[in-house]
Amino acid sequence: MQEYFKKIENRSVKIGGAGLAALAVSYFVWGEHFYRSYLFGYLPWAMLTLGCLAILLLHHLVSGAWGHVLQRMSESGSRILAVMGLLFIPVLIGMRDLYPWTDDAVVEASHVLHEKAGYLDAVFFIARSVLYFALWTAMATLLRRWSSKQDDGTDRSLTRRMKIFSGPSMVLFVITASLASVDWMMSLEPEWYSTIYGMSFIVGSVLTALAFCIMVLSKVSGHRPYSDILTSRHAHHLGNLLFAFTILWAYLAFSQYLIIWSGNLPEDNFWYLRRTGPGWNVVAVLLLIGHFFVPFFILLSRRSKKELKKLYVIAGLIFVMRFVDIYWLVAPAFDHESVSIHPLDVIAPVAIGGVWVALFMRYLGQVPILPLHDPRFGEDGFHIHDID
Amino acid sequence: MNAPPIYGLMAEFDAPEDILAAAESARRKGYREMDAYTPFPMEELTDALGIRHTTLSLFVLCCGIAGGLIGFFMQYFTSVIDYPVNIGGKPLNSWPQFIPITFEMTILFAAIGAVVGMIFRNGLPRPVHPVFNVDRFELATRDKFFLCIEASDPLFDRDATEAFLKSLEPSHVTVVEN
Repeated sequence: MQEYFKKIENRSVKIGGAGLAALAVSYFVWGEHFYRSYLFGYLPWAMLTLGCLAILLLHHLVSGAWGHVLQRMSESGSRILAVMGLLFIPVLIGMRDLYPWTDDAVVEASHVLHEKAGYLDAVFFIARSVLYFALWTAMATLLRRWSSKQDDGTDRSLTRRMKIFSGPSMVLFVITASLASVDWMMSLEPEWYSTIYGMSFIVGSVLTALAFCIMVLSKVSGHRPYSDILTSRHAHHLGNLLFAFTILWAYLAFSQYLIIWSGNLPEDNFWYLRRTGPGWNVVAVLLLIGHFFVPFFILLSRRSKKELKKLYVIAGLIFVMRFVDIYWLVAPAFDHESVSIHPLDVIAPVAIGGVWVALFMRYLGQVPILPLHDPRFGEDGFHIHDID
Repeated sequence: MNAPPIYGLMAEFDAPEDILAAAESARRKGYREMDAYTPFPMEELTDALGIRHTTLSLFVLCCGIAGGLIGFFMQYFTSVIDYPVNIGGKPLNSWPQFIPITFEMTILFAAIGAVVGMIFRNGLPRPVHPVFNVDRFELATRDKFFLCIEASDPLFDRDATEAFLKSLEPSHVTVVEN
């Protein structure tokens, strides 16, 4: 399995390195398009990282057998938060290209933005982002440290400590991640607002991370020690979770649409008018089918959830659709009229993805691939007894 | 009535591993019409008994689709055909408004279909079952494990099946009267 991680890491380093070089060159070629593409390339991977943290917190809270097999992946994924904080710097540099509220003339001309100026302030924005990354990195680091210490098998109190730590952290995570979604994504169209947006962002993040972890798990499932403990029950649990989050995503997305469609007020319906205009309506229908109906009907059947090989395909589809969804959320803020996919819109996510996957594989290779001496799980990866 | 004279043959075991092994061998021998009765649920028995995918899930899916269609067209009928009212200049067929009820009806019909379908597929309501004719069967709710091969199985042969069950070393083999 170590060779597999190494192989993927080397490949990702090459892709990430070439991508970053291409990104740096294109800054001088397509300067005016650079930051918006960078933001689009950054967001799906940031959401994947946050989703890993959410899964980790959830696992320590509820201790399911499904989380036991994903624990090291979610730890490795959330460990990348520190690097994601560094990769956020270009967004801060390009703030004036991205966020209309940074322009005083725009704020002065709009009563709504004038009222929001206290929150949508450049210095406050930077301070908030720094705070988010500091809190998230602290959560991820502490949980990873304690979990590594637990691997020694000497300190039996760590399991309980991680559980107690995860409760308040989960609350803090939901609040900060909601605010981050408002800051980074919603304020691209600062006059518009939706109160369900933060929850949509979090559910989308978890769905991204779940799909990614299922894909990795399926790839390594034939290797020891996974091959010793993985059963169709694990696959079934993970398939059910993927199913639940797919439905939840659709539920939240539709709730937001229904409310705005019913109200039909010019203050907020322009957001959907942009996203269902010519070109974008095709993307919207693609999301409806590819992000909801296809995974929904496939995951409805028990047989498709019992095998990791089958789940791999569905998780792959969902993972790709996450990028389409984020593109549909972000890009119409800049391209009001039509869809025009810029070369940078492909280079940016590939470059950041290369870095992300390389780090993920490196971190994953550094730790025992299954948590050791976890009193909650027996040799077969299922519960022996619960702690409280 | 041309019901078979007996319902089947029942073997009693003392341990969960024994009944699991017994069910495995009975399945390998070719028996299909059989059931196991245990004091607690044993997931592994489903595979050991060779219980295949039931048609219940297909029935529930059809109920769900029917519920969705009924839910949607009920609203379509009332607001487009039977009693059209212009609300806020919205089109009469305001389908986004219909989705929540369509969804709820899908769930409702699927859930009712699952419960009712399960009851009928299990042959319920049925006031009494032949297995209760075996006196020792009440131990199935305490600490004994029972495997019953039913007479309706094409391979069932009173003497051969009894000999087979005895070869599994149960503590008792009893004839289940109809």
